[in-house]
Amino acid sequence: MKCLNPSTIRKYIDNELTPSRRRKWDRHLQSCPSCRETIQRETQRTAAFKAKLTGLSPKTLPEKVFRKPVEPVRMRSTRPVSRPPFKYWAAAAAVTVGVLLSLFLLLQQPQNNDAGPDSPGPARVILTAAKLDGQPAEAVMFTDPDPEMTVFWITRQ
Amino acid sequence: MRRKNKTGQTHSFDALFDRYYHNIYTFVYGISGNAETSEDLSQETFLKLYHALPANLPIENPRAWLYRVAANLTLNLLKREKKFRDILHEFPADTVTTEYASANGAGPQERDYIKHQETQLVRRQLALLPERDRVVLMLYREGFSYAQMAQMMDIKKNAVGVIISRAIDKLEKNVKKNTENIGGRL
Repeated sequence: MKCLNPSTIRKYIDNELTPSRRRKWDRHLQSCPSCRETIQRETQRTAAFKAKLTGLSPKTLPEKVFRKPVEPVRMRSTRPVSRPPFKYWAAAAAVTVGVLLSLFLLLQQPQNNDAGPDSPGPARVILTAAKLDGQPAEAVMFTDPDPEMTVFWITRQ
Repeated sequence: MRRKNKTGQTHSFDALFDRYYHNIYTFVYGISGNAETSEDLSQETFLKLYHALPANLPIENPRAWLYRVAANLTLNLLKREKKFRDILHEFPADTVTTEYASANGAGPQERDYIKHQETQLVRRQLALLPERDRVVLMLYREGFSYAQMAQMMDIKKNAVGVIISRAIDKLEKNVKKNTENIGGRL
């Protein structure tokens, strides 16, 4: 049987071998003084190494105080919150709906100022039996929703 | 604040803090060598626990969980700042060991001083190791198994033994070298 290699020695010392493998090497160690000596030496080195690492521990320990994270505090008013009665809310809602509906209807009506070239112009009314200086004439009235835009146009026949 | 794990065991934050705070502090101190940093990182570790317990995070082994968090926080800090290595390099290179002091009949005060020097020598040699290896060595000191260390550090299980063996060899060699520099009396 071969002797222990460095990797196996390390695992043996740190008790990282499976139980079956450890039993196998234990049997070997019983019959191999060289491996026994190596294991003994490495065990001492490991213990000394761990002692050196332990020597790095602090001489004093801080007080066990956990600084809890500061959570945002929600300020609450001690005064009761006053809310208007339901009828006021209903009235406000009705007014709002009315205003919105009016705006909608207003926007739906044709705007003459913004009318395009194909849109119908003002109504044209021909007045018969009109006379100009005693002579028969044709009078045409162009009506418009805006009274200032209503004009008369009179021509001789 | 309490929560039950799969085995029905209840974790209480206060109990875990009381039980492991100094262990975590000592663990971080062993790597960083700085009291203020160790306290900050210990607090940060338990702050994560404070948030993790009500969030029902899977914490089956609180001790391993805490060490893992502390190890990662320390590792991140070491990688980010690299300041510890620079600080540790300021310590004097010549030193003697307590064994030498005892052999030469030094007094208690002198022995304390020499022990302090020896600790600084070990710390300096450890600081020369890669950050990950240093954390593994401190976890080794705490008695974690190879499997636990591998899981905590996200390395292969076989690599753990190699890191430990290499660190022991290097530390022993460098300590011997430094003591020889002051006269080769050891």
